[in-house]
Amino acid sequence: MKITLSLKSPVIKPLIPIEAELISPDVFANKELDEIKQLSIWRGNKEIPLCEVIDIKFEGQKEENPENIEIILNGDFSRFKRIGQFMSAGSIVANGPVGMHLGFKMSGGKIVIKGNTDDFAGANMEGGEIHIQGNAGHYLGGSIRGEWRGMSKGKIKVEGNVGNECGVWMRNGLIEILGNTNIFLGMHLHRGTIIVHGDVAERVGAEMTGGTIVILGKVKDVLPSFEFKSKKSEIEFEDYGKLKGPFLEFEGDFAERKQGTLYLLEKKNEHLLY
Amino acid sequence: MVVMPGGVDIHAHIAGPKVNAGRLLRPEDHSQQILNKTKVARSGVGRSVPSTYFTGYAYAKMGYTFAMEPAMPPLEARHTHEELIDIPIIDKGAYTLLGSNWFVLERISEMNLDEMTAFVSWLLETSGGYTIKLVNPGGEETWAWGRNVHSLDDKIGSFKATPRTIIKTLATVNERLSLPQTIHLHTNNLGIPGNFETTLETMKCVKGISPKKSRETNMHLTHVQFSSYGGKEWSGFCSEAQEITNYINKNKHISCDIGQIIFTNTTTMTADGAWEWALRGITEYLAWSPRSGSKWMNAQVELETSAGIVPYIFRRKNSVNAIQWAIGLEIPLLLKDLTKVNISTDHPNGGPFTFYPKIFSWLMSKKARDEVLRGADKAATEKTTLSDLSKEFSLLDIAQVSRASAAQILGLKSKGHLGIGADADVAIYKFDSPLDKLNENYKEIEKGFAESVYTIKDGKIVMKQGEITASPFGRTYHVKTNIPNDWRIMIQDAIEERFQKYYTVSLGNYAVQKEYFPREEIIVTELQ
Repeated sequence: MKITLSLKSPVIKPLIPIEAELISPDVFANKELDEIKQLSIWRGNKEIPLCEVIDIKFEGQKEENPENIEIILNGDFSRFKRIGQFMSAGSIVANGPVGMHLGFKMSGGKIVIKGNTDDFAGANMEGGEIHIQGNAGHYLGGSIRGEWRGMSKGKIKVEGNVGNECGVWMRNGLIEILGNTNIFLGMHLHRGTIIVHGDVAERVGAEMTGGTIVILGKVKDVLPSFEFKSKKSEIEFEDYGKLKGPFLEFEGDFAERKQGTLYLLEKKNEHLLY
Repeated sequence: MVVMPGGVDIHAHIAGPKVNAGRLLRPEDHSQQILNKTKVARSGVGRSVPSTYFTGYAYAKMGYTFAMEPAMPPLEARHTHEELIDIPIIDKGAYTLLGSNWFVLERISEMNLDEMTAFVSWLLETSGGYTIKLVNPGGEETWAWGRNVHSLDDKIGSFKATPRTIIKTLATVNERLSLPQTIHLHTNNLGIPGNFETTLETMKCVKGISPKKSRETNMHLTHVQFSSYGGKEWSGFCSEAQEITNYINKNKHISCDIGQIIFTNTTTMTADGAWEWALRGITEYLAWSPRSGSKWMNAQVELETSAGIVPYIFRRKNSVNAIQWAIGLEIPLLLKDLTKVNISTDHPNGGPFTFYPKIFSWLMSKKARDEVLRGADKAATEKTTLSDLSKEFSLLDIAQVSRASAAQILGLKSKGHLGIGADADVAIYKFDSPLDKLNENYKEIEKGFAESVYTIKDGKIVMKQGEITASPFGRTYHVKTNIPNDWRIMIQDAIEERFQKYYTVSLGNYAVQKEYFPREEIIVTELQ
């Protein structure tokens, strides 16, 4: 079953954010079109029905299993927060940008965003897959405020650039970034893998207590609490495959327990060997 | 339908600087439970550290109409009362922390009892407190120097006082002032394996002090579960609930509340800063917490007390947690006189107060206990006697341990019963199972107590099947003692000097004035 949600034309960009946690296959499962239209969402402090801001198209029959539901988002959803929150199966495809907290605590299914996402995309994720074709904001695959148990399973792939504190408090899973990232990549990393193909700003892996960060681009600087260990010609991951080096292997963070590992591509990071 | 007087909670951290710091430390707790605004009720968030209005509604939902905040540093009394005002529906009060007050510590060696009595009376009145609270007596002050006290006779910093002299003196002062409640004590060495010996010694040390006329107890041991541990190391950790309950059964002078733990994610907070620091160290070895230990907070209140906060998750499969769970239930099941014991979780230390219905179901049904024992670590069966205890509480017993005895221990004549002179605080529950078969259908016990059909406060229906229908102001209970005027004059200079020399606030800004009690109930006592 396919459900297409398009912003009402002409597209009036709602300035007040909309709490759209019900845009999820689990919520739409077992519901008729009229029921979905009348689902209420909050715009600021006002409760409005979904059909007031969105045109809904329904293809196929009412579906009980969220696994078979595909949601298509057309238009600029950058003020819609919490899309795909708690989703366990099915898929969401957005043909434009989406707002904060995309796929918060999702445990399964797939989200594809053909635009940019805001902060906290994939925060506290417990499974499933997120593919972002544009840029992502801060705290990608991270954790909500205060929670020390971040993303615990699943996969995130970003084709563009990422903001600060990507993968903060991550407990397991895989984040792959094709673009560049900003400061504090993999802060408080506990377990899991982060692979960055682009360049990274400083303070990589601050306070990490485990896990692995691989950087194939240039790193501006490594924290003094990391120590160079050895050179490796090749590394391999169960959920990713082989990566050709040679790599510089660092361990740290000495300010915490030095169980984390940093792999930096040698030919771009020779300035770190002194 | 079952009609009971409104519930009375003797020990729950619901207001004050420590609770507020807990709210700040745990933003992730807010998203766990959210209450939407209605026509009469305000919105609120929080599970283990709920916001003020939410706290009031959550109590009313369970049919509770009275709760006591058990740790108020006098310096932060204004803050505590500001929050208490904002807790609607329920009646409330706060205990004043006196265990490491410099005035007490300094003068204890000189032992001018009149002076001490005058000071305690003044401090209770200034802070709007209800009774004397001792938290790890002496330990809070020692913790300011990075150490802790480990026995009743350890020296406290540069003072001549020891935990034993503090407890004895303040218990004597309490009975002299004939305060409605006894001293409220959080023992030394709390939470540490083998601490039952300290607890026994603490109980023995007040044995000779004769209580005031209307009651037979002279000490309330709070969250006694945390003080009933055996074993020398964590590996030998076991239950000594038998020893503790034997003493309480044989001697009439002790009352207690249990401090049951719940297997859930909660926030521990206490004025025992040293213990919270130790607990943070323990979390380094637990799988749920970060490898470098849980986030934490510690604070020192000048000349008065300390405090600490650590988030904690009690796990079924953790042997220590499983034993702790069993001890909490052993205590009420082993005690003969139920007027001496209350249900508490030491909210939010053992778990949020919203889990009381679960505790009722465990007490009322052996089947429910066995169910948990099966899922918990085998240490709970092997190192405690819980699996041998077949006693099951009746509804009347539950009414006793959740309301009547608490009201009696607090010295509240109008609470905890439905006789002549009682307040019109009533909770009406409905159970989907026949009342004599409740122990079989223990899930119905939990369901029935979790949401009262009606909660009535001061004759007004405040909650109807989980819907808030009215949100009146609750009363704040505090005490006033009549002592001779010349006693007050005797200590006045000493107090003024203290404020000029040491305190960061002036005496004029210290006292809680009557604006902090929009609706109050003053209990006036006479010197004995």
